[in-house]
Amino acid sequence: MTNLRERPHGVTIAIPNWNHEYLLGRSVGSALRAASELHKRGISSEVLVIDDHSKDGSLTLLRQLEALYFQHGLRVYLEAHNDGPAETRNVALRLARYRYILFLDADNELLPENVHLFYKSIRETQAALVYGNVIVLSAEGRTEKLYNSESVQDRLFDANYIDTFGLVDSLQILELGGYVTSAGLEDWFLDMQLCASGRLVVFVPIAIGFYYMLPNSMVLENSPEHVRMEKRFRRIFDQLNLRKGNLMRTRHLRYHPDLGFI
Amino acid sequence: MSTLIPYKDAPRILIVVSGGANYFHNAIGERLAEAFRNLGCHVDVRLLKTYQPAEYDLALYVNLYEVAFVHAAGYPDAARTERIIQSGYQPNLSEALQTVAAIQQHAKHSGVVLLECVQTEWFARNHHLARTAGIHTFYDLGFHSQAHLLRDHSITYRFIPNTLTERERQKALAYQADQRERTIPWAFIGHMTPQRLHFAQKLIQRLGTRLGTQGVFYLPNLRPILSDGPHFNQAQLRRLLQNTRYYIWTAHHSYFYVESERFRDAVLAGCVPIKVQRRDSSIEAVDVPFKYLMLDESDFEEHLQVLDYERLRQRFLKDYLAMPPFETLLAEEILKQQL
Repeated sequence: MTNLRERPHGVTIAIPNWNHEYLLGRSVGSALRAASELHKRGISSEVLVIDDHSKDGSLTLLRQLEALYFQHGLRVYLEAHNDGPAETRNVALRLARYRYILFLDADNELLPENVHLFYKSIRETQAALVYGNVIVLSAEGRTEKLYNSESVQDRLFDANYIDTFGLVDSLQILELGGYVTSAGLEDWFLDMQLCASGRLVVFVPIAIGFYYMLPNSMVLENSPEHVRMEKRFRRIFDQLNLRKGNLMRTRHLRYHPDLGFI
Repeated sequence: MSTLIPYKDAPRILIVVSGGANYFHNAIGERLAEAFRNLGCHVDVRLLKTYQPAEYDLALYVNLYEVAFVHAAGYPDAARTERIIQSGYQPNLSEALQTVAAIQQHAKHSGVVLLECVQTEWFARNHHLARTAGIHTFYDLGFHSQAHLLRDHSITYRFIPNTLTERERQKALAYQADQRERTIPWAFIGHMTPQRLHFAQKLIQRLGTRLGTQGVFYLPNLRPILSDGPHFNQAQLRRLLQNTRYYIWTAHHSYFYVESERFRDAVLAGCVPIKVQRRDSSIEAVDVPFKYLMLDESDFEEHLQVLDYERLRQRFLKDYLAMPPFETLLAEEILKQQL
C-alpha cells in the first residue's frame, strides 16, 4: 500500500458488493463509463469492486468483468470473510489508488457525465465529503424518493438524510479513523463525525445518480436496532442537546464549480 | 421619470411585509416600494412590529396571512420557524389583527398584494384573513387576470401585470448583447413534490443527451423561504440563472397559473424560462404573454429538443421589454383608482 499522503489526485470509484450479482452489470457499467468520462477530462480514475464474501454468482461475474475491463481500470478485491458494509468501505479506503473515492453501492447507478463536477467541487472546497441528488427508483424504474437533496443542517443530528453515495477525501476520512464498524449505520455516523469535527460536508445541487429500491432493502428505519443506534448516537454527538445552538462550520454549504458557494 | 404622475401632495403609502416565512415576498414589498418612490410617493416598508402610527393614503399588505403568522409567532429565526411549521402549530392571530385594525384606522385605503393562483390554499388563507380584517381589495401581480376564477364576488379584485421597473428594464437590456457561454444547461428549482421529482428524472434520463445531465436540480423539502434557509434566496438564484441557459419549472399544483416572478427572475438573469404545464392541468386559452415558453408535459420532451436557445432568448427579452413599465401600471391601477 502506498503512503496515504502520497496518493495521487484522481477518483477511485469503489463499489462494495454483497450478493448483488444481478445488479453489478448496471453499477459497474456506469462506473466504467464515468471513468472514461473522467479520463477524457484528464482526470485519473479507476473502478474498484470489493466483494464482501458473496455467496451468489458475484465472484464468477466479477472475475469475468475484471478480465474484460482490466485495461479500462477495473480491479476486483475479494474479501475472505463477510465483514459488513463498514469494513468493506474501509478496505476501499485502504486499497484505493487515488485520493478521492466515490462510493457507489452495487444497487446504484452513476450519471457518468456528472462525476467530474463532484471531483472539481471536492478539490476546490477541500471538503471531506461532497454529495448530490440521488433519485430513488423502484425496481420498475418508477420515481419513489429523493435522497441527498439538501445541504447539511442541524437536523442531521436527528435523522440521517445523506446516503453514502458521494465522493470522499480518503485522507480526511482515514484521519478520523475511517468508517466505524461497531456502530452500524456507518454512513450517518461518519456524517455526524465529520460535521462535529469541523470538516466540510458540501452539497452539490446536481444529480449524481440513481438508487434502485429492492425487496428486503437494508434500510429499516423503524427497526429496534435502528432505534437503539439513534440513542447511542445521541449519547455520542449530542448528549447535552447543545448541538443545535453550536452552528457547524459546514452548515448549509452548497457549491457548484461554475458558481462557487451558493 | 416618464411615469411620474404629478400629485398635489405626494401620496403616503405603507407597505407591510412579514419579515419572515417567505423571503421573496419581503423582496416584493421592497420592489413595490421602489416603484412607488419612482412615482414620487412617500413610502414606508414596515413589519407589523415596527409599525409606527401615522396617516397613510394607502396601506398594502404583501401576503397578509404571512404578515400575521410571523407576527403572531414572534418573528422566529429560520430554525424556529421551521419547527413551528413542522409541528402544525397555529399561532393566535388576534393580536396581529389588532395591529392591522390600528393601521386601518390611519389608512384611507388598503389592500392585500398577492402573487398566487387564486385556486390554492395560499390564496384562501389570505382571503379569509382579509375578510376578518375588513380588507376587501386584492391586488394580483401576475401575467393574467384570475377574476373569472374568484368565488367571492364581494371583493374588489385588481390585476396588475408584473412587468419590470425602470431599473429592472435597464438591467434586462444589458443582456441583449450578452454572448457569454452559459455552462449550466438548465436549472430546475422548486420545493420537493413527487410530480416534480418525476419530472426531474425525465429531464435527466430522457433529455440528457440533448440538454445535458449536468443541470442544476434543487428540490428541497417545503420550508419557510428565508434568506439563510435551505431554499435559494434571490441573490443565489440570480447568480445561478446568470450562468444557466434554460430555467425550467413545473407548478406544485394542478391549476393553470403563470408564475410571473419566475419569468422576471429569468429576464433579469438573461436566461430563457420554460414553464412545463402539468399533465393534470392544461394551458388555458386565456391571453397570456410568453405562451411560446409554456410547454405541455405530455410532449415537452419533443419541444425541448428542438428549441433554438439564442432566438428564444432574444424574443423573450424583446417581448418583456415591450410591456409597459411597472411604475406606469401601478400608477394606472392603484394610484389613479384608489387615491
